[in-house]
Amino acid sequence: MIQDHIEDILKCTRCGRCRVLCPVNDELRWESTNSRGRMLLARALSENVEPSAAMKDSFYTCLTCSICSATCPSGAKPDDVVEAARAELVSKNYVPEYYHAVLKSVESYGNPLNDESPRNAWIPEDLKATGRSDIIFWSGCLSSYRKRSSAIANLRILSRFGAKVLEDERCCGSPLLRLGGKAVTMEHNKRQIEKSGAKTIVTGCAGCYKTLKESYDLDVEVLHISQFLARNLDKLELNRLPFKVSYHDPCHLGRCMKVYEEPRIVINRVADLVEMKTSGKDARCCGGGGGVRRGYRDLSDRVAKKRLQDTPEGVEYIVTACPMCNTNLEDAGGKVIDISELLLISLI
Amino acid sequence: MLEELQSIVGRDRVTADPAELYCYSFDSSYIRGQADYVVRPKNTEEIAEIVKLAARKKVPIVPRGSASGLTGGSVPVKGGIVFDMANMNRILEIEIENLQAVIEPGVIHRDLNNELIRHGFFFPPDPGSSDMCTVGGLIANGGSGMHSVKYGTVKDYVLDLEVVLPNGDIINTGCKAPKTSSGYDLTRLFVGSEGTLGIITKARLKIYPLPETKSIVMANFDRIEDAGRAAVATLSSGVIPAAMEIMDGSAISAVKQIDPTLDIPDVEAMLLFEVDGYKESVARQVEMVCSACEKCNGRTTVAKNKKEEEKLWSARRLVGVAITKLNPGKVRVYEAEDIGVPIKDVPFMLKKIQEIGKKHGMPLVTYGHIGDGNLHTGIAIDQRNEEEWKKVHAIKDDIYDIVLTLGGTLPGEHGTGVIRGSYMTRAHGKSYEVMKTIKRAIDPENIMNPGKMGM
Repeated sequence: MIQDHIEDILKCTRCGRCRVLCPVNDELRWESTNSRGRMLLARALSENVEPSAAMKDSFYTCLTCSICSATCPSGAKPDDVVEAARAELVSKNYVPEYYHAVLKSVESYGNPLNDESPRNAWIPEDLKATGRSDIIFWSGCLSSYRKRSSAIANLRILSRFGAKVLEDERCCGSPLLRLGGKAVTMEHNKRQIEKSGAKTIVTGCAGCYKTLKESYDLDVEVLHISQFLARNLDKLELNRLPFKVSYHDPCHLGRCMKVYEEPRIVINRVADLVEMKTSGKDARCCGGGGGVRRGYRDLSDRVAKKRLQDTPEGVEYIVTACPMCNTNLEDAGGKVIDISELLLISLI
Repeated sequence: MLEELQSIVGRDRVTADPAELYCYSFDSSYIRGQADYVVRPKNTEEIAEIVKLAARKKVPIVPRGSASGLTGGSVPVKGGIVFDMANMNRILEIEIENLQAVIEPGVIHRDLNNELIRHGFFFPPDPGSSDMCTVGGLIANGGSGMHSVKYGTVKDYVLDLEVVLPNGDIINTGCKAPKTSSGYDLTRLFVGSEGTLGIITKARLKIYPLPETKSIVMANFDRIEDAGRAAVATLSSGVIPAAMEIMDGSAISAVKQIDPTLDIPDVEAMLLFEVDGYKESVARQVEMVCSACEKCNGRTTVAKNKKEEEKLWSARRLVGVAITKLNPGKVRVYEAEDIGVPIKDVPFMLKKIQEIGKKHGMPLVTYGHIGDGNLHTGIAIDQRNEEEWKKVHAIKDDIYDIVLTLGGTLPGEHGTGVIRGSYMTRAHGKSYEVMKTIKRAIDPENIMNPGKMGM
C-alpha cells in the first residue's frame, strides 16, 4: 500500500525535472496531471487526505511511461508510486468505471477487451500446434484479438524454431496490475506454462514481457521477440529491404526493462534505421499505456499524435515492438508495423 | 469567488478541487501553504481582471512559474489565488537586429535558449534548473547561474517588463532602447521582487551572440586555500572566465561515488573554468588560467574534446543530486543553501562550513560559483526526524552569522521567499524599511504574494 512507498515519496524534492518531460503534462498542464503532482498526491494519500475527482484523474491519467523514474535526480520511482496509489484507490473503491469493466472482462473471458471469442482463433491452420515445447509463444490479449497480423508474424517466425502456443493462455495481468488491481489470471497461466514444459517463453508484447518477467515467479527464461530474434538472426535467411524505417521504443520494453539494443540489431539487419527525434531512454510515450487509452481516449490520441511528430522524414514505417504502441500510433495516423512483421517480409 | 473566476477564465482553467489545491501548495522547499483557488490565465487582460477581483475582495495573489524555487517564494502561505503561468509560454518576438527577445513569463528557460541558438544567439543567465524553470520565475527571483562571472545575472538582461499591479493596472517598466536614464529604474525594482509588487506578464530581454568557441579547464588542489588563491589570481590576471566553479573534497567524493567513471582525483578542492570567445582569444585565456592555477600549486587539465568537456560538467551538475542519492532514507533539504561572500573569502567560508557541519554532527557538501562568491551547501536528512531538523536550523544560523559578518548575502541567486524573510532587517538594516515603504505604496492591502521577503 501507499505507506510502503513513503521513503520513495519523500525522496521527491519537487525539483520539477519530471514535470517538463511528462507527456501528460504537455497536454493537460494541471499540476496534478504531471509526475511531480502525482508524487505530491501520493503524499497526500499517505496523510489520509480523502480522494477526490482530481486525485482520481491524476493517478489514472499516468501513462506509466517511466520517463519520470528514468530521469529523477533523487532516484525516486514515481511510476511505482503511482501504481501503489492506484492500489490504494482500488482498496477504497475510488476507481474509474473502466477499472470494474476490465476486471469483469478478465474474470469472465480471460482478456480485458470484453471479447468472448476463442483465445486462439487468430492462429492459422498451419501453425495450430499446442502442447509441450521448449519454446512457448505468448501472444497476449491485444495481439490475439486486435493485432492479429503481428501475432501471426511472431508465431510464423518462431514456429521455425519449434515454438508452440499454450492451450489456454489468459490475460497476463498487466492491465489490472497497471490499474492498481491484482493479476487474477496469474495462477492459471503459471499452471499452463508448467504443463507446457517450456524452457523459454517469447512474447511480442512489451506489457506482457514486463509482467511475465517481473511479476511471475517463473522457472523459465522470458524473452521479448526482439531479444529472441537478435540471438537467432543468423539462423534466418533475410533479404535487405529497400527502404528506411524508424523505431518507436515502447516504454515498458525500453525504459522499464532496458531493452534498447536488440530491436535495433534486428531492424538494422534488414532495413536502414533512422532514429526518431527522441529515442532510447528519452523516447516519448505513444500515449497508450497505463490504461490511459481505455479511460482517457482523447488524451491518449493527443499524446500519440505528438509522438508521430518525432518521426523522421522519408521513412516507410514506424516499427514497434508492442501491440499497444502499434495500435495507438496507427489510430493517430501513423504507418506502423510490428518488428516481426518487418522481419517476415524480409524472409526469403 | 469560484463563479466569478470562472466568468473570467472559463470553467476549465480554474479549480478549487482539494487534490489540485494540495499540489499547488508546495515548491522545492520545505515551506507549505494552502491555496484556495488555482487559475491558469492565458493573457494579461485575464490577469488584470482577476487581480481587480482579488483586490476588491482583499484575497491574496500568488504568481507561480514552475515552482522549482527553493525558498517558498511561490507557496501560498496566506492562501488565496495561485496564478499558474504555464499557459503564457510563448516567445513573442526575436529581434536579431535589436539583440532582443520578447517573451511571456511561462517560457521554460531551456526552450528560450534552444530557440535562440537556432539564430546563433543566447540568453546568458543559466540556472541549474534551466530544464524546468520559467524565465518569468527567473526574473522574479533575480536568478543567474554559472555564467554570471562574465555575463552577469538576469537583472542585466531585462530591458522592459509588462506588469499587472495589485490594483489591476497594467504598466511597462522600461523601453525598447538598449539604455535609458529616465526616472527611477522600475525594471530593476521588479526584477527580484518575487511577485510581491505585481505579476510580470511580458518581458523584453537582451540577447547575446553565441561565442565562437569555448574551452574547459580543470584544476586540482591539495589545499582548499590554494584553490581560493588561484581563483583570485585568475581574475586579477585579466581573464574573465564564462564560468568558474568550485567543488570541495566532500562534493568530489559524493559525485565519484555516484559515478566512479568521472576522472577526478581525491583532492581537497577542484576548480572548473569555462572560457569562451574567439578561437585565438580562448587559447590565450586557457594559458593564463593554467598559469595562474599552477602558480598556486594547482594541477591543470584542459578538456580535449566535447566528450571530456561534458564529463567534467556532468561532475559539477551531479553534486546537487548526489546528496540525496548518497544517503538512503535521507533527502536533501534546502536551508542555508545559497550564500554569497566576497570572492577572496570563499576558501575561508568553505572551511567554516565544514567546521559547522562537524560541530553539529551533520556532513555538508559544498560547491558553487567561486567566480562570483556564490556557494551552495547540501544537507540531507530524514525529514521525519525532528532532531535533524533542529540541527539543520542551527547550522543555518551559524552559517548566516559568518556570511553577514563577512559582508555577504544570504541568497546569492535563489531569492528570499519565506525561508530567509526573518533575516531581512539584519541583512539590510534601514534599507529594508525603504523596501517596506515601497511595498506599502504599491500594494497597500498586501495582497501580492504576502508572507514573502518578510512582508
